[in-house]
Amino acid sequence: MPRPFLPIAILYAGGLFIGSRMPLPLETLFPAAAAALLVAILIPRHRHRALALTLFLAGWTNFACRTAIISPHDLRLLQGETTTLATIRGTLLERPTPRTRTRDGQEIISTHVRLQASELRPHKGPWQPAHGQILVTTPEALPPEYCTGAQVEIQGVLSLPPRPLAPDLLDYRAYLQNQGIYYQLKTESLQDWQPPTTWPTRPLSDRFIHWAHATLAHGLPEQDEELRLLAAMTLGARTGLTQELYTPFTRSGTMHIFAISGLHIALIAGILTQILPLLRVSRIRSGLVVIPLLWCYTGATGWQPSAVRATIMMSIVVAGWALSRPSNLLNSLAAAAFIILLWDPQQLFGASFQLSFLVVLSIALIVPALTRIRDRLLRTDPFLPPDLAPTWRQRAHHHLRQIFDFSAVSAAAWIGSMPLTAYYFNLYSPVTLLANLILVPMSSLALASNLASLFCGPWYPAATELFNHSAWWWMHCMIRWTQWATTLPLAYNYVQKPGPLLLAFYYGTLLLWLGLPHFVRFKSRTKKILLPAACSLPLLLGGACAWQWTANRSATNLTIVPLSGGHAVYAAPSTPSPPLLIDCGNSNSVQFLLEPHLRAQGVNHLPTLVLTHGDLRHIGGAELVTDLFDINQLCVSTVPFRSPTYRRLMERYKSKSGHLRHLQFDEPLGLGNWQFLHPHPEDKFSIADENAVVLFAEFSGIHVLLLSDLAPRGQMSLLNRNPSLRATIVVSGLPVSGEPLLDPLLRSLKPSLIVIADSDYPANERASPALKSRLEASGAKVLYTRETGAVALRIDSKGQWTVRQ
Amino acid sequence: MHRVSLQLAEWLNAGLAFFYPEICQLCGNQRARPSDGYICGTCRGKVHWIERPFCERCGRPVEGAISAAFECGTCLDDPPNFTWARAAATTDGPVLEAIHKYKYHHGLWAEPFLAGLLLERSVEELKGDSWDWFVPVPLYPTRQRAREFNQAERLARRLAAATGVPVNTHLIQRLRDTQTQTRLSREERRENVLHAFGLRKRVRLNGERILLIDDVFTTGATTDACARVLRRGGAGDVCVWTVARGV
Repeated sequence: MPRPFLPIAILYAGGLFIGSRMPLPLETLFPAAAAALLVAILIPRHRHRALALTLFLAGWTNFACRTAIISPHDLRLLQGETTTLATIRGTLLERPTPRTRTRDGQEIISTHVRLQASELRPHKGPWQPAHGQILVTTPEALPPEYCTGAQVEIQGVLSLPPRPLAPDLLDYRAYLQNQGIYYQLKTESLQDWQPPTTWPTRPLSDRFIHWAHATLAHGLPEQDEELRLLAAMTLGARTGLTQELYTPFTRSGTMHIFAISGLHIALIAGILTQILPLLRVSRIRSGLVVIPLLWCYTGATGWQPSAVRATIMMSIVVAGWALSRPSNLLNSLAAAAFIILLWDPQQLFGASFQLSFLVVLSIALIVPALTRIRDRLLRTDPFLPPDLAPTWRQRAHHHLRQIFDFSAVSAAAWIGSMPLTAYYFNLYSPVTLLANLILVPMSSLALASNLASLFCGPWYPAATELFNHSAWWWMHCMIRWTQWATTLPLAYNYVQKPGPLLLAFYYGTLLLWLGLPHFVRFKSRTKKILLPAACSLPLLLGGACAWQWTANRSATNLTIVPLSGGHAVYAAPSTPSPPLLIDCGNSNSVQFLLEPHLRAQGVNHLPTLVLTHGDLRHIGGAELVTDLFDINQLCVSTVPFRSPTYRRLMERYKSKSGHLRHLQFDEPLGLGNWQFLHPHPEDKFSIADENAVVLFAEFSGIHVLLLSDLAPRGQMSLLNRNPSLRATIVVSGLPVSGEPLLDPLLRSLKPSLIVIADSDYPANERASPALKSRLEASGAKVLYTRETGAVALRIDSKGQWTVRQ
Repeated sequence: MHRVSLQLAEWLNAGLAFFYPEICQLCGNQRARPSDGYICGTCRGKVHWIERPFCERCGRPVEGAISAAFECGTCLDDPPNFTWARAAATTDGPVLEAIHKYKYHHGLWAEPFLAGLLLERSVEELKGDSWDWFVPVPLYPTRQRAREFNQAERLARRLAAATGVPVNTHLIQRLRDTQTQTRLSREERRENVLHAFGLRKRVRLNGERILLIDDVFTTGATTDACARVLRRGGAGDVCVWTVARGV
């Protein structure tokens, strides 16, 4: 068999996938897998099929073993879905890693660490045995004594990890569940940590990382951006990496250099396998040195999936080199996947695993095809042996080949990772090709400098310093190059997450056209049946994608995002009407919620922002939004508001002619279907909420009314001016004084759906029980964003509306 | 005990075959074991063996139905320093590809195949004669380190194991790193290797019978230069066996 691990890995991964979708009890899966294995052993006639079934069931069973509740003390049984104050005893499973993020211009550190719980004491309850992993978060850095294996006692709020606050944002709960973590424990400070009576010996990997950090900083004047990025690249240490720092790398599709991967492992293996034979070390002995060193490096840098994948593959290559056996890229890739998934089945559903394997698979499938094109393009006179060509031509061809090969690998990696990058990061980055062409060689030089620095560290400080400066300079060039690359026109775009149909279409087509000829040699009769099928399947999927795309374009989408007491509404009507953002929350809400949400909707640029009133919780982040989304037109009512942010924004937009628009009753709004209903110029209200802008629109027969935080006097004014106003969907926040949607207005509107944008914090932004019972009595369906998170409404061309929470 | 170790080796090979598929490295279609040098029977069938009639001196095969022993015009015009040279196959098809992978891509896995060709043709013939040493054509040290091994030496050791003749790597040495000969003409090759080899210090030869071993015989310039050095040093008879030769 040309690639024996390939069917093994596919069958096993298939079992894992089905196991994640169709969980079965272990009492069923174990006997089934054992029976299949017995058949394989006892009945040679059915051995192949039975072995295939055994592998499939092994995947299914392994997944069930890792996710099923087996222990009677499993935290999921003890804790359920409640949130409690609890004290946990357990063992730290990793080195605590501080993470840095910028909030209001200040760097904030929080530490995350996995804990294997052994005992749990609920608030005022007795200690009880517990089993399961917990993610502990602390808003400060932990002392270095807290290391892997430390026995600790921690007090905090034990709860399920949060769900995403808006559609298409990272589902942190699912993300942690994929790692076998079902709970998080939030502590307030280091005081909540009870240190162990005896500190464990720091593991070698921790000490190596500490030493390596110090060595890489040797001779450099300060801990700057470059040094932090170098530590991330060489040691996989993400400490100190802020979003601002790595955003250009994400946008240019070069973030992969910070994951310990094939580039790192191949470089280390390459250097060692070149040096050791020169020192007259035999291949076998070299292999015995190189492979353990690679695994030490992978372990010390935190067992990142891409690093483990690369190390398994490189171990196979190095062992093959030592044993004089040829390896096969696809088979090694499948072997790495099988071994990793055997160890940790849930990695199959992780972005890191998927990206890492798909990129290498694409390289294995696409590069040979591109190489054939290269050979055709660089073909010389067939009657003249290449050796007899002029030297300049031979050299030119040699260099062209190298450039082409490098570009081919870069292009193959981009083609393979494009849909997944869009899926996980909502990014489409054509600049990736150009950026990687320069960045990867530079990162290799920086990495080689750092490795040389680590090698020289203890015994030749002068050389260490020299190498550190060299690495710093290369990293400086990398940062500048990446920043420049992202400023190029059409360098990157935020895109909507592709659906499963589109992903299936893309990868199905890629695999059918590039992969199938690799794997299968069909008989002519089979070919006659399979080839049309292979052609029609992508066409079928492509047709389905096109249909889905058309349906999406003809639908109107409204998202109501609760933002710490305020709320924003993003309206994306069916084309050709322009999208609209109404309010934006404060600057933190913009940074951590609204921007990621809008990026996930594929929003790169927003033509219009409407500010309903001067409340900071609604418009505090407006300046940031205008910068991030290059807003052309700011729409406000004619009522002046006193908030400094509002006035600053007015001043800024007044200076740009035509960019500030005051909403008027007697002028067309230029906002597509939207109509302006409130405040009327004759209204003289003193409270901001009474002057909140009210917008109304009709989409395919569905009437939508956006009330913002309209206070009771404003509501009555609106009703008096529009006595026949009807709305199918009404969205309202909570005014500071009084209630939203007073009964007379509610009776007039007769809504089918009411969305109340309330929040947990501050407490006065929670819908009161009285309000809830009054709204329930109206007979309309009522959604509270405090309970549902963001609400996404979809109105299709037939006038049907649906809600996604 | 021997049977147990054989069984263990078989199990180990079966396990390794999962990681290093036993598939032909040339065609990628058929099964090929490590002991076959990962070259399948079909590809092996495409080997062009060198059969008589060929020049009795340089071993160059010629077309036609010549039954008597003869020497080619080149050897008559410019007699080489070796007594005779023989090769197992022509340097084309699977042999050329395997040699390239072996020498230039560190493909030691191809060695059993190439050594197999050499052994298949040479062992019977060599066993009939008495030889003092098998001498592999040396590589310049830096090139050998870059390539990790001297292919001629490895082939010579395999041939020595089959015939019982000792290998001597201490007779001649490469004095300078000559440029690769793949792109050179016959005359340029001869010039290239003219003073490339020398006898090692304190080596005294006294009419010994020596067989030079190399992987490829193209124009014979390299082996001729080695034979010249050995003959001048006092060797009696210097002959050549290579895996392949150009035609």
